Amino acid sequence: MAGQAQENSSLSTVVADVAGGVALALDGEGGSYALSALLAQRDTVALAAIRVLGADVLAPYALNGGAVRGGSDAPDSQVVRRALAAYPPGADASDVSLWSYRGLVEASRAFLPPGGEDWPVEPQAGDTWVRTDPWPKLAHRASQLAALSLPGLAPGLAAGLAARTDDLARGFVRAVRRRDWLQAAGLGRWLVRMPDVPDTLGLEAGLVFVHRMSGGDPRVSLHASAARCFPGGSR
Amino acid sequence: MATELTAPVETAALAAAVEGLLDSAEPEGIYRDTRECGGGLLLAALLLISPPTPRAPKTDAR
Amino acid sequence: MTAASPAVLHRVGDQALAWLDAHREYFRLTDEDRATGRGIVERLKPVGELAVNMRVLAREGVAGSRQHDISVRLLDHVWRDLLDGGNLLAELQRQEPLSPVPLEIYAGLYELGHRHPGLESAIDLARGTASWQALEMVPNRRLGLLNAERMIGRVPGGDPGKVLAATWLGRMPEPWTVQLHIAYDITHTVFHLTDWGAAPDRIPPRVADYLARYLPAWTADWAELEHWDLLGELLVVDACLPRPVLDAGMWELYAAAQAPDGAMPVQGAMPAGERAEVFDQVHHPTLVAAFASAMATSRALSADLAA
Repeated sequence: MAGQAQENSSLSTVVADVAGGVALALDGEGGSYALSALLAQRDTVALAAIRVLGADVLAPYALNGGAVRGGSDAPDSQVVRRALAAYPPGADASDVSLWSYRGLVEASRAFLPPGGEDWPVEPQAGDTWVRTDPWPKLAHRASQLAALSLPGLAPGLAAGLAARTDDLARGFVRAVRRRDWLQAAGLGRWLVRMPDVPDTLGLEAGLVFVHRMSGGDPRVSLHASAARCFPGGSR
Repeated sequence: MATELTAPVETAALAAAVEGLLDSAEPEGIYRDTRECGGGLLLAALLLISPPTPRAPKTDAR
Repeated sequence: MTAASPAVLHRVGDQALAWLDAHREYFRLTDEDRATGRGIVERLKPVGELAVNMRVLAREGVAGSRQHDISVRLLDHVWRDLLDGGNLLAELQRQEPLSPVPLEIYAGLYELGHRHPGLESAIDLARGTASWQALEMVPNRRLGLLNAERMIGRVPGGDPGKVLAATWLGRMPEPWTVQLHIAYDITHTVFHLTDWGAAPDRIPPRVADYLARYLPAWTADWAELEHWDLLGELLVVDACLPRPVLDAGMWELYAAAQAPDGAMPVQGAMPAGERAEVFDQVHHPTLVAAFASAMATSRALSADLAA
């Protein structure tokens, strides 16, 4: 178990590093972004971190309407392909894992050069929960899938969640109360895109509050920056 | 930003770690400021149906 | 979300009332309280709360005959034995002519038919001054004072709409900033605005919408923290909304927190100790349990429930 804990811990560290790099790029302080430049070479942990962050590793490319970078063998395409190949969802993968994988494939298609090879086929991912989950559970899952709130990804999921805007707003309130800054920030990303988000939620101030209170957690920073960069996407 | 990792890791174990991070359970909300429950009530002490003024805690106040 | 069954809602109140009845001797003033004057207001607060509760029970018509008997017995005890037929409140008003406390306690008893003309004229004397309206207090208490004036048949000395606008709830700020004392400000604003649940339609629609949207988040959070006292008050607020939820999951947690003898702990488990000490600690959440139960039972039988 100690070995597992160590892997979790080193993976979390790399996830945080990559998230911090993405957040900087979104804030415009990173200059020209390249995912491959954030990673240690040939590092299985780095590939795992890409799988964990999903579509968000390509978020900076969505900034300017998804300008395609590099040639067919661009290093970012290669590293994402390797991550997709190394960590496909298993037979018993959770819906969150399946959706996240789908999101990374969709984002690759949208934001990376086509190249010669096909991207993997998106796996089917269950969406019954979007309609049936009680609001606290719904909010938790939606936050885990915040990367899919990037413009143009998973339109069906975004529409399903938009139909439950009030439930996500409740989840945001509960998450802040529980000091679950990561969940709150992830929900904030969905909520900034929703046309019916209630003014009384005070979402803008809420995201600033959550970001500050998280004490600089890079994954929260990534969500906060993405919420600033991609507002009103599904209007 | 590149991270140095020296220990070789098992991809299978990492796959489990990936799943764990992707679909992690909610952290328990027990780390909230417990002072909120003990103090801060004095303002309301004279109002009907407001909580009683906290007394010297003889009980196992949580 | 499914609504709790009326049986669960009713049982919480039935048991709470039985506990209050069994402990009525602890609604008390000690000789030391009387001699020093210290703690009198603290001792009278439960009396006012009890009166509010008994009034809710009578009004909502959900009390069985046993509950009705208990209610009469409790009220007789506090009015006759503890308040000396109102003389104690009149004496307090004489000692401190501008105090709103005697009115706040008397109003519920007045509505239940008890009268003390001397006290009323002392209250009127205070109400005739500019100072009475200038008394500084938090807006939700001011709202309660206006309601108490109305309850004893006086014209409220202020505009409840303006006072509501000055409360936390009336301004509808960011719901994620709510913490314990803000939550109590919210519940009290609703209690006073609706005359302890008698007039839910006095909640302006925009405020009712705000509450319907965010109350579930606050309720879930304080249920998770096992703060039964506040959870009970939040459940009352739900029962005051145009379309109450009466959430089965929340009510089952709440009911499960109640001790077998009917007492409701403030937070977590029941405290241990002398009977009188335990009473001082749990009479408030137990009164709230009776209040929440009466309101929710009544709404379960009459209201359009939220989906």
